[in-house]
Amino acid sequence: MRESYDVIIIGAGHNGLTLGAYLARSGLEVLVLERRHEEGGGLTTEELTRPGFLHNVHANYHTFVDLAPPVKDLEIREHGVKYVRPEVQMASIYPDKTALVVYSDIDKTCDSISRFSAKDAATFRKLFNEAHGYVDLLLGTLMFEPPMSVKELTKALSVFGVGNRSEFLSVKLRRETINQFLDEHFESPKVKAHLAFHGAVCGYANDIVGLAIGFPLLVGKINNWHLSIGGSHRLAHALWRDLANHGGVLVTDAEVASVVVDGNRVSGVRLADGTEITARKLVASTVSVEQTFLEFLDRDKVSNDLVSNELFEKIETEIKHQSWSLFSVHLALSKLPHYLAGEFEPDVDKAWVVNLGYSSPEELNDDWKLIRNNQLADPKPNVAINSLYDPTDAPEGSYTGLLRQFAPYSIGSLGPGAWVEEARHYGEKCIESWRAFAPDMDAEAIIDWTTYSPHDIATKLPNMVKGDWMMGEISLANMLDQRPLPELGNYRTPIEGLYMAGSTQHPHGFITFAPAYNALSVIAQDIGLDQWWKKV
Amino acid sequence: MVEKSLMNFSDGNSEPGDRALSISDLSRPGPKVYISNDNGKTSGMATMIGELLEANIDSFATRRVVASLLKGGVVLKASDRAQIITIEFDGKSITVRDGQNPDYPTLEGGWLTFAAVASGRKSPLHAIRAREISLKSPKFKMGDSIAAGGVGFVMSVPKSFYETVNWSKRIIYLSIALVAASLVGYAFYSLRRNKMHHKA
Repeated sequence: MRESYDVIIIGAGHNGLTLGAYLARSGLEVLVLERRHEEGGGLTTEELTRPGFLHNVHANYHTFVDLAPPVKDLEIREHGVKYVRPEVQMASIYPDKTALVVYSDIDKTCDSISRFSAKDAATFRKLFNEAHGYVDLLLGTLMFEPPMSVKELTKALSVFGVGNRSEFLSVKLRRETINQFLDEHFESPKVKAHLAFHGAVCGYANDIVGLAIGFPLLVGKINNWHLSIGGSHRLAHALWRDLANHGGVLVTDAEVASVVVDGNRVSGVRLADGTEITARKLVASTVSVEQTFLEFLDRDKVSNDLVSNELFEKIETEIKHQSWSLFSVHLALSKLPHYLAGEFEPDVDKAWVVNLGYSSPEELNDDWKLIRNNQLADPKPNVAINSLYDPTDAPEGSYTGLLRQFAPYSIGSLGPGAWVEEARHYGEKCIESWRAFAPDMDAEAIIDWTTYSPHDIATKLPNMVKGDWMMGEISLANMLDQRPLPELGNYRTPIEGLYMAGSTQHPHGFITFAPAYNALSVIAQDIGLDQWWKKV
Repeated sequence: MVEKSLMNFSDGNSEPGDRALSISDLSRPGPKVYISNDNGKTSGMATMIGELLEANIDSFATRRVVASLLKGGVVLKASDRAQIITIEFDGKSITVRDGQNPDYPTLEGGWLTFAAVASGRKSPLHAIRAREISLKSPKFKMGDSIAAGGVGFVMSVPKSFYETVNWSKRIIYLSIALVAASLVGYAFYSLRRNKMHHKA
């Protein structure tokens, strides 16, 4: 590691590595600093239960493969990442042991939906076709572009004539919940429950006003869920390889203590061990807003004209985080689950992801209320059996499993630390609820299991404040150029040369690559970089 | 600290163009836009037009001024979508609601035409002149035409909103204008001097 670089990036999650790789390919000297012992951030794959069982600790579902420009620009596949798109993508199993299945083949999905409502199957097909047709447009205007304001979005939708051509897409969705959208277009509570749950797994709670506007996009890629063979961490490794192949440097175990500001401009970073590194052109932070401003900046030394006290106070009090987190149970299995609902729909046993138990959006609403009140809901987890489509993730004849349950960060008045005591017990309840649908998942089938709580998320990755795996609330008030605050909504900060390029920014968390890609556009404009990459 | 090295692994804006047209001394607040949902539901057309009006009044001083001068109402009818909305304005507020008020003049046209006008791709006057939008009035009053034209103007986005400001073109136009003004001024001055000379 040298004393100075053109670019210093804080955080080696997929956004930090993506931005670093693009800038390295642009001929800049890039240094990426990572606090942990390895790159990846949310792209973490570890042998949590037993040796040989590879568990994706955070990111498991890669839904933007082939849609996100970096996958091609940075030659991710050439660097060894292999994706599989499971034929049976997701299923919902209801308490009466019926099941709805989403396939990569939309005709088959419609056949499955028609077992609950022929009308809903026809509506779903229309919605999917429309949304899928607009995915490129929506990606170009909403995901892989620096954000416009909601008002500009209204105009853009008008210019593209979306409202005129679409039965489903409309600016009025910004005033609706996903529940309202579903009630308007669908009739079967089970179909609605499945679609609402799909939205929730993507971070979009079905009862929040305004989130209907993003829902058609979620439906448009409902059959585009991919699994990274050998674990999600392979993607992080590929991104690092691209960075390194183009002269970029990744240093791990390098905890940033402060961002150094000289006058109005950022001049570098200081590490926890006292090492100072100069940034000749810019510093980009991909960690949380709180870390970047409240921990890394010396409030007393940064001029009030540059970063006002008002902005510091807003960061302390107004950054919005998801009101729910995820509780996970990682399992090492000796056999695959066989669901009772297999009698109704044999393909549930082949489903990569299975949602258990919600038979109407109202049931999901009730659980949101409990969770937002820091209470634990009776588990209705979703179950992912990666080994069904990735035989390399477990020893031969064995399988990995993942149960994910929506959960609060704090438990009651006991706080997040209560998870240390509660996790094992709640994990047992999650397994019991799974067993009610798949009785063969008995003690013999489960070789070992461990939990990963919202408290663990925040402890392992402090940028996921309060276990917020989306690094910022998904809501209309925290979307587009308002995310994370209007003052910080376009990847620039009040400090010249200091950028925000992580999932705190538009659009949000998940493996989208979009915050980094959009920050890159802004940086390219600011420093006069030749844009060699093709825009969406 | 560990520098991860390849050696260890042998395997290998859109700044909208003409916002500058907003004139600071015309920045007084414009009318507030209300999108009515009397029936508990609002059509996509009412929402879109209402939000366009709101955005334009916020963004463009000229439209803000025109909006604050408008009094009365106009009906917009998308003939091919069976959607009708009424826009009422009283200088301080603009209300957009679904349905038709028969007392107001009606602008009727295809949805696409309204979308083109609203997005700045077509001027409202051009659309009326080309008969893509028709104006029907219960009783012909000059005020109705002004109101309809005014609403069309406030509803529309300047084409330049979507374009990058072309400063080189502007400088050429400005130079031509300055030269022309100088020539006119010089001609006027010469004429006056000749007249004075003749009088003397």
